Amino acid sequence: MTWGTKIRIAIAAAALAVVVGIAALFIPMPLAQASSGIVAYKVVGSANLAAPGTESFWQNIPAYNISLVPNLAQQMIPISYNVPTSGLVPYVLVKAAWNGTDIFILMEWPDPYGPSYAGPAAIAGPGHWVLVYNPKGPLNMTFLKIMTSTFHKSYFVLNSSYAVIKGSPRPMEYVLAYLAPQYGVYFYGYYVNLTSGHYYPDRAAIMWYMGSQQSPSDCMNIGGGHPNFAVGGELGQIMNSTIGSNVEPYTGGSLSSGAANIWEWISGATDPQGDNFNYLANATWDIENGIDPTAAEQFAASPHGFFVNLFANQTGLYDVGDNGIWYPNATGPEPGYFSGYTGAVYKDGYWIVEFVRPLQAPMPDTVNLVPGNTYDVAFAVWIGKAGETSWDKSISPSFIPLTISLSPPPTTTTTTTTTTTVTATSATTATTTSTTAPSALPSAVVAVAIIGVVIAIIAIGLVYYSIRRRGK
Amino acid sequence: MDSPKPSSFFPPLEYKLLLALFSIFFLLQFIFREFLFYVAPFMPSTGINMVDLELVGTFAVFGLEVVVPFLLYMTDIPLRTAYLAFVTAMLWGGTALGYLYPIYSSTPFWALASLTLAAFTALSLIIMVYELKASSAPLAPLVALQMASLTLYVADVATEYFGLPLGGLSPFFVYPMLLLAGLGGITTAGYSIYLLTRGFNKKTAAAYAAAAVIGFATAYPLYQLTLYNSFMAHIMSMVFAMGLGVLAPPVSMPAAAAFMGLYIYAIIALAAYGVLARSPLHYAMAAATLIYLTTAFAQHAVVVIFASVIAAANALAYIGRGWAK
Repeated sequence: MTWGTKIRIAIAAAALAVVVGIAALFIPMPLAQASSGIVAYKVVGSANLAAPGTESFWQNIPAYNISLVPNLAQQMIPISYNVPTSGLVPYVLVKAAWNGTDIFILMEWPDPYGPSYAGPAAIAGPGHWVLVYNPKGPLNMTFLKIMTSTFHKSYFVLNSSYAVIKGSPRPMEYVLAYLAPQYGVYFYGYYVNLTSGHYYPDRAAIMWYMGSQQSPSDCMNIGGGHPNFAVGGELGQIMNSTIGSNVEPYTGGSLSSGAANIWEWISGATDPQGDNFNYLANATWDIENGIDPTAAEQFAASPHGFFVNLFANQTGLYDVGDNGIWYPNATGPEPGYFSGYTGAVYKDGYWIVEFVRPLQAPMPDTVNLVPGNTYDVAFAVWIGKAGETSWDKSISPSFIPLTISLSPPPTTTTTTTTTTTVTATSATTATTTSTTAPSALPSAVVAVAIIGVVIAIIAIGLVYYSIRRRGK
Repeated sequence: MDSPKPSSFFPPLEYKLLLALFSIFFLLQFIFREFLFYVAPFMPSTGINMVDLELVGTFAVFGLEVVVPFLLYMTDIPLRTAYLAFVTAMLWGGTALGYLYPIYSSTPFWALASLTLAAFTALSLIIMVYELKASSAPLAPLVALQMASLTLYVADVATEYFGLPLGGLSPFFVYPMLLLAGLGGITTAGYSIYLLTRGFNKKTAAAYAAAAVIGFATAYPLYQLTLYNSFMAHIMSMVFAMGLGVLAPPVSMPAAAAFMGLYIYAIIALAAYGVLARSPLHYAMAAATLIYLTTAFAQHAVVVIFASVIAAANALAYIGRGWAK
């Protein structure tokens, strides 16, 4: 090829690049994607919510290990200290599948504190009391008094460095995080007394981002919604002199962009074993709280584990389908209020919770799931007996892509060996080997094949390159 | 002082043109797409329309998709045809499948193709080191960083698409990858200073001084801001996490600012040296430094990330082989 031809090719390439680049501004073009993230595989079968995780289809689906971080830590929000009770769950294992009509999400996480079935504060459970302390010395009782009186809370002192504020800290979260530490009052976590039964339900939540592809980074790092709350009185004056404003700017209950649907399982209220599940299983109580009457009566006749639907956007965090049991209402009564199902067991130090929901959105402001599409998801977990509740939790630090695949799961062979002693006298031993999953390869073979393919391409490429290089 | 010694190998003009275009497109897509894409929603209103700026990123990333295959074609090294055919098929095949069969990226076939692409990327890095030999030493930490990133990608795909229990590797890579990124800043900046021992003239000195001033002017305000202001340290920590994918604690923000300045200085100095000393190798090293650093922490969700790493490595191998003669 002559020099002239080559330079023409280069100029043509530059021109083509400009043309394609400009065309992309006017005609949306998909960028080539590489495979990545969580995959919900298509399976045959249905959920067994009495024994979540034991369904046969889960055996062929790998668990995606998601590291969790404390949401009340310097790493996640701009506070000057770490809250000791935040981020007690180090990881959650997640599997996903769908069967043509429903999606299944299986979450498993360690909980060394044991299961809590305490009711949530919103449904007559123990109140969200705040434990404050000063790690550097005695608590500043003067400031504590000003802060609690401003928010109409009472408190009691445990010792010179620790005190408990009675009542939800929602409006004072910003003050607790940013102002109080400057005056010797730090947020330790939510007050727990296992003896008296003052602890909180265990919870798990899945967030489905419904905005554009500009995923907000805060994802599960949301708290209560009190944006632009003006703090009055003496505390407001202190805020003015310290921070420069008495208005709480942190929109703790909202996403920074877009909107999301959150599925929240609450052991004490949405699980049949929960202490306060009977409130929701009572149609009269449901109707009084703005739940669709037909849905409430059907649920009361045949109660089951379920999850609450929440909606978050840039203005706050809202309930979907009731009149504001947990947060302000977004929609009013909706027939699909109990359309999500959950099964939960606590076993060997781990919670196993399975979420099941029809793919089609059951209510407004809930995510509509379409096979073949990819969604941004995030996860949060609370250990209630350790003081994690509400604002204080363990979260995935960023969104993770979840693709609803049209393919069945990768199949691997599981070989089990059973040894049986027939009689004591004859001491005969029989060994049987059973193989599950049809037309499958052993996982070791798959592992070797995958790693082998990668290494082989590199090795063959190197050999070929070396030979050709010598020849040049 | 002596003038810098020119390189003994000059790629043809058309190659240099494409390499320059490739670098510019990558820089634009990094600033206006990869970085701004995540940070823009959090920016206060500045009078500038962020959506318009993001269009620059869209323009650049598709320009990159066109230039990369041509650059691979012009890069006269063994395996050129294999790289060209495979990378082009993945880049434009993926776009075509996006219209015809939108769920292609979740199929086992595409997962296997993605793994093969990762293998090709690792191969290009190894060949680059093989060709440059000791000259690749300044890039060694960044090459190791890329290898770590590719390992995590392979583990992710193997877990989710082939059912292997490799999903828990990522926590072990966080600090080693941060360390490698830091080392890369030191080695590339150090190497750019070392190049002055080969001789320099007024233009080179002025370019180095300008690089130092720009690096310092970028880093110092951020350093000051985060050294004495804990709140801003937390804010910038989130910007680093969003824009660069680097999860570093806020207390390390002053150090991160210093390393950012070091990288900006090193990239500008190497590029300037490459142009002024007629040394395309060093210009390519500057481009590779930018590409290896900014793609290592990004989620490998788009093919163009792999393609950029391959194109930069092949360019270095191509130019470096001539340089070594």
